[in-house]
Amino acid sequence: MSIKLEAVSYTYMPGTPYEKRAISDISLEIEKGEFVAIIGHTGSGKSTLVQHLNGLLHPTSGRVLVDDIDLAAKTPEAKKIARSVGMVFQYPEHQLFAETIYEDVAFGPRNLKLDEAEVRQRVELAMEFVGLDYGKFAHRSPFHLSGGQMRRVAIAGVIAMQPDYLVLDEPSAGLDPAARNAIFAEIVQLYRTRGITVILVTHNMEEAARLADRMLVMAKGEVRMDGKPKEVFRADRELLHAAGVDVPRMVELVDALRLKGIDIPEDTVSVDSLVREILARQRRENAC
Amino acid sequence: MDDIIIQTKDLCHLYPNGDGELIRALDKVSVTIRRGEFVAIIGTNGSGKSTLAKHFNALLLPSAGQCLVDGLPVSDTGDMWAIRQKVGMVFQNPDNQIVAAVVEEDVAFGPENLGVPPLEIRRRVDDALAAVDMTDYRLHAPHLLSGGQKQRIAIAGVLAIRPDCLVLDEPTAMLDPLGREEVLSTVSRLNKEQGMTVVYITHFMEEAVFADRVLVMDKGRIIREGTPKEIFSCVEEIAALGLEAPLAAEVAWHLRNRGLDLPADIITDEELALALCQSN
Amino acid sequence: MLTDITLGQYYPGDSFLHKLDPRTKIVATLIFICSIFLASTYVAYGVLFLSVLLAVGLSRLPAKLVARSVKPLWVIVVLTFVIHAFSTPGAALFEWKFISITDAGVQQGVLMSLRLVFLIVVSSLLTYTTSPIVLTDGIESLLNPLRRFGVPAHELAMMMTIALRFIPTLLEETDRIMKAQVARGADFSSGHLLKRAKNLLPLLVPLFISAFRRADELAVAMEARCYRGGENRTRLHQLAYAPRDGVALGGVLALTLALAWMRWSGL
Repeated sequence: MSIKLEAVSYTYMPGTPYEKRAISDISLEIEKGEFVAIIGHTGSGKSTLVQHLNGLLHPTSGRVLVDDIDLAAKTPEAKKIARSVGMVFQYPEHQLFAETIYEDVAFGPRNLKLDEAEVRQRVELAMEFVGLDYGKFAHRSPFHLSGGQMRRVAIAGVIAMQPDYLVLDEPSAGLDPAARNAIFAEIVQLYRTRGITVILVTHNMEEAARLADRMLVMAKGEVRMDGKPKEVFRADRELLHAAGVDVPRMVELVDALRLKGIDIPEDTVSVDSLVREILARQRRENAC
Repeated sequence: MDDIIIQTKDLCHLYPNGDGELIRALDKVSVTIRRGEFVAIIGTNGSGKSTLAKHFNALLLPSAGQCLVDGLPVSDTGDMWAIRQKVGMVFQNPDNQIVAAVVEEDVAFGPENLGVPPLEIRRRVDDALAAVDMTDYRLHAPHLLSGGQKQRIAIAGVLAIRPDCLVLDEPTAMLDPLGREEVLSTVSRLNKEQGMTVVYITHFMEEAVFADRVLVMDKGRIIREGTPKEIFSCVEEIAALGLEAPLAAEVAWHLRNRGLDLPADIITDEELALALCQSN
Repeated sequence: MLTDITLGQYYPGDSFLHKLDPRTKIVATLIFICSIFLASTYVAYGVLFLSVLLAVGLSRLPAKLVARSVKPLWVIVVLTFVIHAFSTPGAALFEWKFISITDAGVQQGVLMSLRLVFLIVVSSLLTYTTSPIVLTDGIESLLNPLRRFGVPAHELAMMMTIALRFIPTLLEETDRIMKAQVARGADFSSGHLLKRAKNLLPLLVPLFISAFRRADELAVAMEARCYRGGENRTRLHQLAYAPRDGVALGGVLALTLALAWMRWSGL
């Protein structure tokens, strides 16, 4: 069970003067249960790439297989399997349309032709997951909420489809740190409790490093690096710079400390472990 | 008095929400912004920082209290246009503040509104585009530019009005790291090299580090005011507000709590490294 | 999807037509279109055809590009021919049940479709050689004298400017919302008409909300940049007539007079 890309290329407006190759020759496999972060700057092709994962775009050449079914095949199975990949777009609150939060979250499940009891159950579950109290919010208008709450409703609308794979494109864009942390806590909870596969597209290296167990770095329509966050950030800085990717603040701090001869492991990524390392080192030195 | 460009005294702003209740967006805010200063205003969404900024160029009028721009009260509608010429505003969404379909036409929009003669408009447009380093793009279509470039065009559009003070309302909230960097360096260059007064509203703490002075807002009030060092060394308080202190400050705070003897005003990586070297 | 549409067909260049003042081009195009309807004889059509060729030549646009402008409207051109061919009384060339094609009909059909083709080519020359912004400036300037009769010249021009600026943005937005709803299982392409209209709500509602939000933010941004309507406004680019504008207008007027003379004299 996986999403598999085989030599996928995509060209916008082929055969016109505006022809632009957005991604070229990408092959990779995302296994069920992985938490993958895709990073790269605007125009690196990451948005084009993720739109292939649920068949919104079909490759100009190459294949995309979800659970071994080719998404480009015009069969009911292909259509059905595409629904197992949920997609949260950037600023998803802009896609809200219904009069009540219930109706909006129920839109996806109803399109799956579920009966109303099942729809209701899914809506309740999805709202609970994003931390919106069903009794309090279900019959309110989504348009009178705060920005952070509106985004949660939109995410609930995707979660209610109960996808096996969840793609999130910059889910924290424009939010303040409190709202950002809340959204990420919910995604992590979903990942842990539901065993859902998460594919997170982000500019934010801190988040990518903290949450994901695998990272893809994209530049100029290609996947330039693929590995564990620690490996990726410790890899060639030149390569990261060429990809227009900022290294996380944590890596910068660790580098700055090591530069001054403070000997802490290069692969420290969390505040807790850094604090522990510094204290341990301090104790060692004092003991001498 | 002459070096004060913006001053508010017990400024209050009330507005009715959807259910007819009165919301107090600003609650007795008193601030003073001096010429040439770079002031950052930080706070979570809904803390009142945008509402405050909109008073600075008379887009909103005080419910009570006063807001003076270069000595002129914003509530006097007769002075509105003079005030808008003195204080230029850049908004969050770069797409929704660009008027024309060609970059230089957009930059010209402000001076055109002021009735500036064509030759002088030309000069101002060229100067403004040079100041944000976008001269090469003057004939481009804005919708094809990156977010950071669009925001620089928006800044140029304001500079062409020749304001005394630039107010930026979360100008980087919708940008990627490269775009944020572009906008921040443009703004801080304008401040350093041309002495432009800057009021910079943000919830990215790393950006506030560049300011001379930081104002922290919460629930419509200014709850703290000081240099970035003074503000960010209070890691706990910042976190309680739902904001994030710079990483070095946070690590230093944890270390102090565990009994390490470190100075209280560490906010950059280098300062932390230096302090740790000396503590040995 | 939608962003594949290329908007604004301006084709940059510096030909005689490109350099003309937009006001000249608008007025000349209008006069030319009127004079098309003066032509009624073969000679007159010949003169018209040569003038259109001359205009295309002066624009130095690739012939293919000009031909392509007729493409989206070919159905109407063919329809015009068919309607005239069938409905004009005359000697029957072909008869089948109640349908008959007459010789006068074919002749009339050819001439009418030719008029249409001329009309399309001439007006697309205007849009090919004039950038939308300059065109807007021209329209504003031409409408300005009508202001005293209550024609909101500046407001109309400002609306066009903003529309030109926001059409690509809104198309992009439509594309994005559409994809988001399709990802939630929305279906915009099947079902009967009423159902399809209802299915569009998840696209249209967010689009309207977004357009209003943008309009609102833009209005605030414009106000912040001291916009207060058209009074006392100046322009970065000022329109100015050159001698070539006189030549162009003179040429078009001469053509009109010639066609009028041919019509009255029956040549």
